[in-house]
Amino acid sequence: MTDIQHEIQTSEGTNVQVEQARKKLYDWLNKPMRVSIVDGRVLVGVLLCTDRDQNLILGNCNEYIGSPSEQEEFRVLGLALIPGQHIKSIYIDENTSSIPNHSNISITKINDHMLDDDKSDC
Amino acid sequence: MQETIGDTTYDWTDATSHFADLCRHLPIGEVVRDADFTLFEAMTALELMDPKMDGGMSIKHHFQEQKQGNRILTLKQLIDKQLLKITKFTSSELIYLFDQLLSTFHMWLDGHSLALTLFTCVYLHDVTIIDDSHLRTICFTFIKLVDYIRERILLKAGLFEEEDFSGTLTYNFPFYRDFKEQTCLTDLKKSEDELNKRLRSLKHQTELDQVDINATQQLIYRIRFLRYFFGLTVKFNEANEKTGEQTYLNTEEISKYLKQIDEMLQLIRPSFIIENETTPTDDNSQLNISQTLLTDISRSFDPYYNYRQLPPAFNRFIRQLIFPSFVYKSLVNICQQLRKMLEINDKRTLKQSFEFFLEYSTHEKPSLFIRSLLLLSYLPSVQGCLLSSRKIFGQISFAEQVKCEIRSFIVPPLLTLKSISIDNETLSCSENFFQRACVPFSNLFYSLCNNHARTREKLSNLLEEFSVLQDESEKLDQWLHKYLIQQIVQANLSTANAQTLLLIEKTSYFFQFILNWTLLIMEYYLLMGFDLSLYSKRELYDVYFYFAQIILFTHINVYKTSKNILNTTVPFLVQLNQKQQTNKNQINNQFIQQMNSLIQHNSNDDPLAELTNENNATQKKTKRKNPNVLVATNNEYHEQELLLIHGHFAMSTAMHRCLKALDIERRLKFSSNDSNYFLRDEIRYRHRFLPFANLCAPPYMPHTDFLHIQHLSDNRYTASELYQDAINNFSQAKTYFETYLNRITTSKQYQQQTFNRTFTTGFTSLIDAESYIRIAKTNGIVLKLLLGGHKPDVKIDFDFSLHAHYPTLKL
Repeated sequence: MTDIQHEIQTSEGTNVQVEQARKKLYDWLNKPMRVSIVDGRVLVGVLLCTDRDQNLILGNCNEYIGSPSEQEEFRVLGLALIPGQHIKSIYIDENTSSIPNHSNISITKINDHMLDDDKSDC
Repeated sequence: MQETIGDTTYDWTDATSHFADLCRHLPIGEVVRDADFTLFEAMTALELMDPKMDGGMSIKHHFQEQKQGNRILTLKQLIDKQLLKITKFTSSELIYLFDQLLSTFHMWLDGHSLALTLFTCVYLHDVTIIDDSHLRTICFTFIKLVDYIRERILLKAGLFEEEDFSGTLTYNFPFYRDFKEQTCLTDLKKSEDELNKRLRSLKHQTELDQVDINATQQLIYRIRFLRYFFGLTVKFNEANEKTGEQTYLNTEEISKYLKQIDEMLQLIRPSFIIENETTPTDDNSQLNISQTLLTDISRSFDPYYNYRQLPPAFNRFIRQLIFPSFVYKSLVNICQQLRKMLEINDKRTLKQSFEFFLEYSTHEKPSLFIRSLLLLSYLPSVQGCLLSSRKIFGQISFAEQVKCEIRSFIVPPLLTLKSISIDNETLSCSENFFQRACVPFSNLFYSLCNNHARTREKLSNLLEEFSVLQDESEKLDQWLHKYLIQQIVQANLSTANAQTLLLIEKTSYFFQFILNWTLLIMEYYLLMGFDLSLYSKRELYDVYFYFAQIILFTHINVYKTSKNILNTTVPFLVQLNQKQQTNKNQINNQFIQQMNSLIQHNSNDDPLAELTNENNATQKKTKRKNPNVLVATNNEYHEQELLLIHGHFAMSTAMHRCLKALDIERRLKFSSNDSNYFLRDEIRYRHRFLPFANLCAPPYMPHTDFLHIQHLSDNRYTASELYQDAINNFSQAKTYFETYLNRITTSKQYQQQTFNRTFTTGFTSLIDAESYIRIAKTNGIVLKLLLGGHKPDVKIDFDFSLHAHYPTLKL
C-alpha cells in the first residue's frame, strides 16, 4: 500500500514537474535559438517545435560554417529539423528586446493582431 | 554572451543542459509547439544530418579538411598556388578534358543540374583566364551549347517537369552571352587547322612520338565532331535575328550534319584512364591515357565545387562522371533518333503528323531533348506567340491546316464549292470556329511530346477542350445548314441529285469531324492506360466494354458516315465546281482561295483533286509525290482505319464476353463482390471514365445505364454462348488485322520503303497488328478448350507480355 501511495505521490510530483517543464518550453517557443551540431555547423533560427528527444524545428533558420558573426558562408535553410542526437549545444536569447533593426517591420498594436485572427477565420 | 549576426544582436544564454532536462520530462510522443504551427508545416522542414536532405553535412570528412585550411579553392586560387595549369596543354590532356566535359554534358541532358555537372569543371568558371586557345574554344563552345539548348530548345518547348530539368536555375554562372555562336564555330575551325598543322609536323619528326600523334589525331576528330554537333544544334529553332521569326527547318542541312557527325563518331576512340603504363593491348576501341600524363590537371574537375550553392531541397548525390565510351555510344543513338525525327517534315496532313508523333514516342522512347526538338521542328516558337498561333514547320498557318484536314475528311460544301461567295457573317462565324479549333489541336501535339504519364494526364484535360469544340461545331453546322441549301438550290440542279442534296442537308459536317478526333483521343487515352499498367484486373471488363460498345462503336459509325459522304457527294461537288465556273481559275469561295496553295501542295490527299486531275493536265505536274499516303481509290476512303477499328472492336468485344463467361464459371482469380469502398464497381467506373463525362458525344454513360446495357449484352447469356461468341469475335479480329497487314505489305509504299517505318494508322502500327493476331489466335484456342469443359477447376490468368493492350489467357 505504501508503495502505491508512494507511486501516487511521486506521479503527482512528476505531473507538476511535467507541467512546469511544458510551461518553460512554451515560453521558449518563438525565441531565437543558436544550436551547434556535431559536425561543427551552427544553426540560428526561431524555435518552433520540440519533443522529448530534443528534436528541434527552427524557423527562418540560417546555417553557418564557422563563426556566425563572421558570416563567411551561410545558407538560408528556412524551416529545418535538427535531430536531438546530433546537438552539441543550445543557446537561447530570452530577451525579446533584441528585435532586428529592420525599418520595414512595423510595431503592431494588439488590436491589429485581433484583426489578423479574423482573417484567419475566413 | 552577446553576438551580432548581420543586423541583429543576440544575447545568448547557454541552455543546453537545462533544455535537455526539460525535454526529458515530456511524455513520449508529446510535442511542444505553438498552436499555429501544424503538423502539415512541420512536414516541410528539412531534416539535417540526413544524407539525402542535407547538403551541408560533412561527407567523408570533406568539410573537416576545409576547416584545416585546405578549403575548396577557387580557380584563381588554384592557379596562384600553381595547382592547375592554364597554358601549353598536351593533346592527351585536352582529350581527357574534352571527354570529361562531354560526359558532364551528357549527364546534364539526362537531368542533373548544371552545378553538379558542367560547372564542376573548374575552368568553366572563368574561361578568359585560360591561355591555351584550344581549351578556351572548347570551353566556350560547351557553355554556348548548353546555353542554347537550355534557352532556345528546352525552355521554349516547355515539356519538362520539375523533376526532369531545372531550366531556370543558373547559379550565377557565367554564360558569356556576348560571345556569338558563329564565333565559336569559326574558332573551332581555327583550332582544327592549327592542330592539323601540329600533327603534320609531328609526323615529320625524326623520332616519332606515337602517343602524341595518336592523341593529336583523336583530338582533331573530337574538335570536328564538336563543330558539327554545335552547328547542328543551332539549326533547330533558329531565329532570324532581324525579323525574330523562325526560319524553316532545313532538313537537308541537318541530314548532312548528322552524316558528318556519324562519320566522326566512328573515328573517335573514347578515352580510358589507366593507372600505370601497362603494355598496350590490341584493343583499338579505346584510347588509353596514362594517369601520369594528367597530373597537371588533376584538380580540373571538382564535384564539390558548387555543392553549397544548390538549393536545400535539391537532389544532391554526387555521381561519378559517366565513362566516355558510354557517352559516345549514346551520342550515336541520339543521332539515329534525330534522323528518324526528321521524317516529320514529310507529313502533310494533321492526321499523318498525329500518327508520326504517336509512332515516334512509342517506338523511339525519346528523351526530353529529342522530344523538345520534335515539337519545335513541327511548331517552331515565335517570340510572344501562343502555341496555337504558331505555324506548322514555321510556314503553314494552323487554321489553314485544320481546314484542309476537314476538307479531306468529310468534304463540307463550305470548303469545297469554289463558286459560292460567302457573306461576311458566315465568314466570320466559320473563321471563328477554325481559329478556336487551333487551340486544342495544337495542344494535342504539345501533349503528345510529354512523357507518357503526363501525356495521358494532358489528354484527359484536352477532352474538356474538345467537348467545348463539339458544342461550337454543332452551332456552326446549324448555321451553315440554312445558308448552304439556299446557295445550292439557287444553282438550279436537276432532280437526279435530290438524294445527294438531302444527304448534304442532313449531315453535321463539322460535328462529325470534331467527333472523329475526340474519339481518337479517347481511344488513345484508354489504350495508354494499358501501356502504363494502370488498370487492375477487376477493371478489365468495364474498360473493354466501354472501349468496344461505346467508343469504337461510335467511331465505326463516324467513319461510315464520312465514307458515305465522300462516296456520294464528291462527284456531285466536282460536277458543281466545273459547271458553275465561267472562268476556270475564278474562285469565289474565300476559304478555298486561302487554302488553294495548300490544297495544291497536298493534292495526293485531296479527295476532290482525284477527279479533277483527269481534266486538268497541268495540275498533274504540280502533284507532289507523297510517300506517306497509300493512294486511295474512290471506294477506299478510310479503308485502313475501318479495318483497324473493326479489328479492335472485335478484340475488345471478345475480351469482355470471355471475361463475363469466366466470371460466370468462377474461373477468375478475384471476386467481383467487394464491399471495400475503393473497390466498389461504381467508384472505380466513375474514376476511370471521368474525363469522358463532359463530352457531348459519345454521351457519358452513367453506371446505372452501364449495368443495364451490360445485362442486355452479356448477362443474359450462358457461359457457353459467351465463349462461342468470344471465339467468333477473336477470329474476326484476326481476319481484320490480317487483311490490314496484307493491304500495307502489298502496297507500293511499303515495297519502296527506304527507311524503317512502322506504318502507323491511328494508334496501331504494323508491329501492334502482328501481336494482336497472335493474341487472338492463342485466346481462340484457349477458349475452345474452356468451351469443351477443360479442367473446370483451374483459374485463368492474364498475360500482358505479348502486348500491353490485350492479354493472352493462360490456364
